[in-house]
Amino acid sequence: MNEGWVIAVACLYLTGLFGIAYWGDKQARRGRKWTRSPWIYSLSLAVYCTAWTFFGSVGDASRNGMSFLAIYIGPSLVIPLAWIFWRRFMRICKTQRISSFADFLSTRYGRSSRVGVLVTIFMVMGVIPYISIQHKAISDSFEVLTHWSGGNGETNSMFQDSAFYFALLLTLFTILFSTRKIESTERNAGLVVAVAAESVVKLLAFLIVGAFVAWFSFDGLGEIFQTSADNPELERLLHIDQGEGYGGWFFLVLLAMGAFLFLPRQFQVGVIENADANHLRKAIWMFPLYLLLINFFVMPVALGGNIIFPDGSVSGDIFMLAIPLDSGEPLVALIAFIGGFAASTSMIIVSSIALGLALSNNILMPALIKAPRLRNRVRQLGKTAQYSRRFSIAAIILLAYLFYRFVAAPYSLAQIGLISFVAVSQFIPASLGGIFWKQGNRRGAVTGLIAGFALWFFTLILPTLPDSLLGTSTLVSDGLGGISGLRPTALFGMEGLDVISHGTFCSLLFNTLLYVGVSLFTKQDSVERNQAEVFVDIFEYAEYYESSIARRGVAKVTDIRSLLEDFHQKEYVERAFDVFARKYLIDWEQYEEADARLITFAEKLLTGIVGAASARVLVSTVLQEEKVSMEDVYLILRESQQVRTTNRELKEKSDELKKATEALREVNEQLKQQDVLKDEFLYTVTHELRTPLTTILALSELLLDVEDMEDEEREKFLNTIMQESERMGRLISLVLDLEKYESGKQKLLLTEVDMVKMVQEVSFEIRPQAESRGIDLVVDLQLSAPRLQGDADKLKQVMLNLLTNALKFCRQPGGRIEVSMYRYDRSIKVNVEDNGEGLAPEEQTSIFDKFYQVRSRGNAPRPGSGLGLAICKQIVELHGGTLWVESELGKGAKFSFLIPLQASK
Amino acid sequence: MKRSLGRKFVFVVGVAFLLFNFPLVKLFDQVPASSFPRSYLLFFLFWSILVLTLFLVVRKPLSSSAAHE
Repeated sequence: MNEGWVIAVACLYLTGLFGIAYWGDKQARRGRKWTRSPWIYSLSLAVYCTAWTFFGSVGDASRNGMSFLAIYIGPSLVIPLAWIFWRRFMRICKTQRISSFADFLSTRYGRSSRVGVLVTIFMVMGVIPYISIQHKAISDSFEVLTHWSGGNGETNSMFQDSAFYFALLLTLFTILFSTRKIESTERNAGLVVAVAAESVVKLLAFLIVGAFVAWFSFDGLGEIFQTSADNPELERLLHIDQGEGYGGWFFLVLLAMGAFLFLPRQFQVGVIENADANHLRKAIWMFPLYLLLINFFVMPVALGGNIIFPDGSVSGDIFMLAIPLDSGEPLVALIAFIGGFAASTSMIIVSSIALGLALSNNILMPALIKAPRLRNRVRQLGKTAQYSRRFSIAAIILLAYLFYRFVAAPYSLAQIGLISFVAVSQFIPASLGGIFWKQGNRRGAVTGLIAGFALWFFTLILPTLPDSLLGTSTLVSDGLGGISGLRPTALFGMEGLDVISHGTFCSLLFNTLLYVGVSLFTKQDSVERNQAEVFVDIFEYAEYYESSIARRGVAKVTDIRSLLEDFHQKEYVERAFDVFARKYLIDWEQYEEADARLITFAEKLLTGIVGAASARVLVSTVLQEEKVSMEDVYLILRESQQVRTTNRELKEKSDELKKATEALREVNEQLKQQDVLKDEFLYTVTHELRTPLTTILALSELLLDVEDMEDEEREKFLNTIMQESERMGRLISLVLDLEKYESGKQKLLLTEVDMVKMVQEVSFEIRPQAESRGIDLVVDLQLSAPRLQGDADKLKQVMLNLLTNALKFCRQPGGRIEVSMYRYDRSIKVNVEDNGEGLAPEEQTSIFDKFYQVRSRGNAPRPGSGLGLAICKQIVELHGGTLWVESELGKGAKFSFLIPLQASK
Repeated sequence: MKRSLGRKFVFVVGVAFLLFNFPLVKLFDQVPASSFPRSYLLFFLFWSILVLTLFLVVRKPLSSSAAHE
């Protein structure tokens, strides 16, 4: 393929990556939530899948078969435990503003700069080879794609090597998007979004190439596996056990589990860049799903490559490119190149940040700060810390490139990747002990780490070095000094394990034994003990971390303030002091000498910029620190716990008070509402009483004043007075009835009620009125309906009311009322349906309210008290039933009620 | 008594680790090569079951003990 095209596509891809990171940063600054979503977090964890996964797994599978899967089964199994480990790491790092794994261990083991330096050196030793294979993958894949001739491609000089220029571009990208802020603990949102996008690219690319191999180069998975099964050479690849048992698989699974949790790049994206610990909940299933998908086609591609290139002329590491190129499909090969490029670049970016931070915080910055000449020349130390990080990142990327050029080139991707995994796993004992075992101490951690790395070097690195470098050709076969028990691949005569399992077992065994043993037989100093307590019980101390650290010494607040201003802007320091004062209720005017809390607070702020080791050195420049005794540590921890307990109790009480206030407020609201209802009720009742009363008064006055009134007219007036008086009486009775129902004073006189008979009686009573108005009354009753337990008079009142209403609102002429009654489950259901004007939707809910009167379409209220339906509803509900209406405007209304056979009240 | 999410995870990881290290890999190797790719798909099916199990475990709301863990 044309070299210029490939370079153009790769540059276009990198430009896109710059764009995504820039856009992600911008979106995050605008507060867009998606940039801190659990999806982005879960995808960013897939930085685990590097060029080793993309190219190396295929190569490994083409040589060793299914065993490559152990590297992916391990993380799939262990990621739920991140909920236990990483959540602690997150809390510790956020509480103490820790930004690198080396700072994490150095802080835990007594804020020891020695531990920081040692861990940084080991991290660099272990991970640089791993980064170098990403450069190798970029270089090799570029060469294969641009100079495909059926072989493995040539190696160019450094300045002709495309990977060198890509390394420079990546350095620029990483520096631009990871060191813009002075604080190294702040999230690099844009960068995380870019890494997540790269995860999508590499997955899609792998699936496309995998599908291509399975269904274009071959006639599906069946053909690939059948052809392999028929070939004895390939048939062995279809098994996990390659004749050495399952020990190798077991150790690889364990190794991958540990590496996933403790690899610096996983620590960076999983812990430091995490925005919310709960995002782990999504990652716990999504990340294994990602691994499953990206690995699905590894075996088919590996077997397919072996079938297409049976003579071994093409390395398995480049099958992803070689198969499409051999099939004359350069576009598919280009997709594979971009997938591999994405896998490599994301790993280089994140790993270089992780190592760069460790290098800057633990080696460069402390050296700079300790050198007075240098320190005095630098005015803005915050900027210096930024430059130091930039320099460290550039150094790591270029160092890895040089390692690839001069050391790693002849080795396979999987071989170097596994050796790196073993190196990283050496951090497991000190890390786990650090968060779960208070007795674990610095001496133990240092001894264990040194022993583990020494054995890692002896068992895994020495055997790979050329004899010329070792100065002997018998070291591997005869052992160190000719002692067979000191053979690198069979230490203490331990044979039967493969090289990686042997190296893992020996190094981790001695590392762990020494860590535990030395910790048990040596003592911690007070600083270490203090940190051990805080780390192990982080969830207890996190909130009031500053008051959990014991310190003795004298420092002026002004000195602390000016020290912080060397790194941060004045406004930032001011804000930080305000936060601190509010938290601990401090009045700065009466606070001239800094106490332990302020010193720890300042150290924490500095740790976020220069790392733990340098922060300690810096604080010591303004503090005359005295040694803290073990008693002081226990005293301060106890006090901190008491503060925490008191605060928790206060918070609980405050919550209870809030709840009580809320309940009171609700009751008050209800009372107010009831008061309004009562006023409305009184107003309506008096209004309803005043109408007949006015008529009675007016007619009575007339009767009194007009002496010569005719008898007929007098009688008419008296009749009206009688009618209005009766109306008043009825209204008063209804109001009294309603009051009884609402106050619960109304009792039911329960008897056996024959509803059939009762409905027939009411219908019989109402029929003459219906006929006189030309209304057709249809009664349809289920004669076998059982009797129910209820108050016969009250139920009759309901029935009568509904039928009277139906008569009132029925169409005239041509009216029709249908009454039906039947058993419905364990109740009796009665329907009264008319073909009148019907009810508007808003009326259907209000119609059962007191004094609500349906207006005719001409807006004049219909005659009636407006209490009938309200009372009916009360009666039905008192029987444990329900009353409702279904209606459509212009199509009549259907009132229904259900009364249980056994009255519940 | 509700189990905390952390304990559930330890249980799931323990069981899955044992399964994927002993019975499953042995079972896989005992399948005759001629039955590929069915056994290959079966291996991924077991992996999918692990993913599904984790999905089901985490989708339940956090118990109060897990929140303070």
